[in-house]
Amino acid sequence: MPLTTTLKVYDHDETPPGTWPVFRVMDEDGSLREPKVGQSYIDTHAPTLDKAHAIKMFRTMARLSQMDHIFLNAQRQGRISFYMSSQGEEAVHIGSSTALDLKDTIFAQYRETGVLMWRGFTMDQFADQCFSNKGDLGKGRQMPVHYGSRALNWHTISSPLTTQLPQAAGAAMAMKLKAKREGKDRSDGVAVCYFGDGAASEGDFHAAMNFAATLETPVIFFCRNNGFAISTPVKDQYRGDGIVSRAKGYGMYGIRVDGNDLFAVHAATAKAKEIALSENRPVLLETMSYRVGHHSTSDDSTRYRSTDEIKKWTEEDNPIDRFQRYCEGRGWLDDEMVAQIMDEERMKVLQALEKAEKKGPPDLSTLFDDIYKEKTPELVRQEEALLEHVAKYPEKYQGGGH
Amino acid sequence: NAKDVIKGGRAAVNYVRNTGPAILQVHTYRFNGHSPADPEHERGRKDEKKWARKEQDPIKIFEDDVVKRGVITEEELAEAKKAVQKQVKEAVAFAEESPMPPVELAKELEFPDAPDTDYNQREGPAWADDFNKKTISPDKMETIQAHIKALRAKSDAGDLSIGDAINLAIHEEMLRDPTTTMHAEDLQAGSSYDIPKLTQQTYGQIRAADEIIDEGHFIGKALGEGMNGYRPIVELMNTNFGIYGMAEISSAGNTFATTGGKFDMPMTIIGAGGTAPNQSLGAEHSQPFHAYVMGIPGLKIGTAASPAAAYGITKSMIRDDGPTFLFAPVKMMKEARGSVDLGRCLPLNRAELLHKASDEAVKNGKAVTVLTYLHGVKEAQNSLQAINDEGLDIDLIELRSLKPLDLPTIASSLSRTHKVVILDESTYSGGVGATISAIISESLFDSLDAPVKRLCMDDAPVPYASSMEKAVVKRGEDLEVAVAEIVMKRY
Repeated sequence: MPLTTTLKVYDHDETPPGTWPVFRVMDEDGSLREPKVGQSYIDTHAPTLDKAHAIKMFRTMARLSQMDHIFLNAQRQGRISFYMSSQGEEAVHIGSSTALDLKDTIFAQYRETGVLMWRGFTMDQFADQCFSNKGDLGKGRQMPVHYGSRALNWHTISSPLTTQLPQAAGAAMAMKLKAKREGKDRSDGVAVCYFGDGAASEGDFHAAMNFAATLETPVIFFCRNNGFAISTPVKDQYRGDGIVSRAKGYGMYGIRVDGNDLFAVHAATAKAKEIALSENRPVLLETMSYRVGHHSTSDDSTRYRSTDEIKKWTEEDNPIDRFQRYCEGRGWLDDEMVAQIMDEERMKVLQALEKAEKKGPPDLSTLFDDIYKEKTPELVRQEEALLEHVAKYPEKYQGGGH
Repeated sequence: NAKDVIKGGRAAVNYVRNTGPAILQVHTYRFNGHSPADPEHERGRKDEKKWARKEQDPIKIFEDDVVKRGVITEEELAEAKKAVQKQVKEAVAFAEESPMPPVELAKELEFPDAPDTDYNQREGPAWADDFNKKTISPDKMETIQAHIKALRAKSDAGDLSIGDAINLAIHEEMLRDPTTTMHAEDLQAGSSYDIPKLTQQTYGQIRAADEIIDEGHFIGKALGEGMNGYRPIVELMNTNFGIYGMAEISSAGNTFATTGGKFDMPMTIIGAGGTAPNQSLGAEHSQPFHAYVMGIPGLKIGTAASPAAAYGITKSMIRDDGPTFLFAPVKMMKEARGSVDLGRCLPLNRAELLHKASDEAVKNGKAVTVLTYLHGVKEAQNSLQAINDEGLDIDLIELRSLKPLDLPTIASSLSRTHKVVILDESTYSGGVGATISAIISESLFDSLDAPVKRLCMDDAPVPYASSMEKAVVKRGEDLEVAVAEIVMKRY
């Protein structure tokens, strides 16, 4: 795919001829492709990119990386039952999240942990959800990695793929209506909907694109094209030019970005947001990256790809390394600092893990809450029967491991 | 313009026949509303429609053209119009005078194959061997025969898993009838339980296709194959994702009846699902999809909690000429091990008596009929000892066919025990247990000495936290209590 240093979000009547180009600011070695041009994106779009901010971004990527490593191991040790990592997509997460704020409402799939992390979800909150303990905001109801946070404007993750896309179109519609009601000429924020290259095959993708375009809503459809849908490589998932090429068919804006380039992801996301807010039109944004890890702890990706391929991406085109080299070039990081940050983040993750493991499960009495706003007589009856039964056999119903 | 349509159409058809898929977009004009129910009075299209009838009428355009060119005369056109009108009038009169369909037809059109069909009597196509020789290379055939042999050896050793048993059945049927095809996500990697293992490597990418992520629509795609001479097998990685396909599955169930029995649609859907104690998969991987599809007419629904049941039922379902759906228990796919009755198809309308209560227990009124399926079978089997220790016993019946239901087997057991407990993997509202409970009360009331006891899931999304999941999903311990209480007349 051709690379470009020009940040252009294409409207449907001016789509690029041939393969859509990939917007990139920074090369694998951390140097800017076209220093003046690249610097201008960093200066204009990054919220005051000074050393402190850069280190904060690096630290967050480090924490995500440590969390993936430690929680994967925790699953293998039988301490949590399931986990999904984001290895290889750290720049996609932090790059996009830094261009958004809490007024933007987020829908995600399951591999966007870093986005939520940057928004302020704490390690304790992540760990509580994975252990489904009494601290879990989801009250122990969902599998691990199904995070949700009303406070951080992040819709709880739902297992079935792509259902979040029409929902995001609806949320954007709600934001547009709210702005109208308040006499504002733009919404307070956009809806951002993350999904993968495989999810884009579901029928809901088509419906959502069409809704968003015909209803003219401020939503960014953010496709993380990481090359795989469990074992299905993209060459078997579609025949067109990735996902972004479909934008034209729906009359939408589109842009394709190098997902391993933190600055490019950030700049593109910021631009997409501005377009969506000022024009009340959806944007299809596609990041190109590589899923370094397995699909989940229930998958062994060496069944369908070579370890050489995985190694190559880990060593030669690693998003964390790329940003690290840029920071080293600016004199903001060195080996010692990096090692220290990694160590500190590792400790944070371990502490959260151990703390969460010790917390007990949610109270059984919450089981029948939240099905309806007010419990129906039927539910009250079932609840009474249940609590009576549990009281009769307390030793069988102590909270317990998974 | 008919001439343009013919030209463009021919070009498109030619492209499709030789190269690949195409989109042909034809611009016309809709003269009337959507249907008689849509008169469009309120849409102000009167002038527009006047213009359309004058300038955009394809028949008028055609007539003007052929008359102008002297190909057909005005008189010939008038004659033709009269003849066509006569035909239509006669057709309407024929329809009005024809008798209404007989009442029995609805029942006849429920399934193309009667519920008690013996699939062992079905012959595979005579050309199968020839076809296999032509399409499967000698070393691929060697590989698959070795694979089948290995699975059969495992069966003989009592060590075949449910996933492997289904895989064995699939290979036997795909070789026996080359119109059988296989569809699944991650198929070439074996999917989750090896159900489609080695199918793509043996039969090729067209007959064994890796599906893109769109469960609803690859079921729809299989529907199309099924109506056109093929026997598609569709594996759902988890039956919860079958929810995407509700429209298509409903359509599948309707096909035979709504086409007046003219289109067989032999699709087999197979999936691991249901819920089990400590399954730890959360609500969206624990929904009782078997309960959701129970009401779909025309669908034969089966469950298998053992390799033997899975193998025999899969073979029959593939041979059945209508839509069939086999559910297997997600937490037992690899763990449950056993033997299968090699080469034999099981009936699709039978429950299986897995354990018969002793005559003594029956005589003393201490025997209870237990109806269950999927994970409930394992729970019940594991509770047998504890039940016996209490001086009680059960007729343990596995409901291998949820639809059609095997009422005779249930009736026969009830005539001995007069008490029934259903260990049900559906929710309190709606579902399998509710349906069976109602059927038993309606048709076997006189056999009952006690109300039907239903152990089912509460009306709450199955929680992930195991302490809570334990409370929602009924299990062996609950069965032991229920059996004791019904015998002690505590209800």
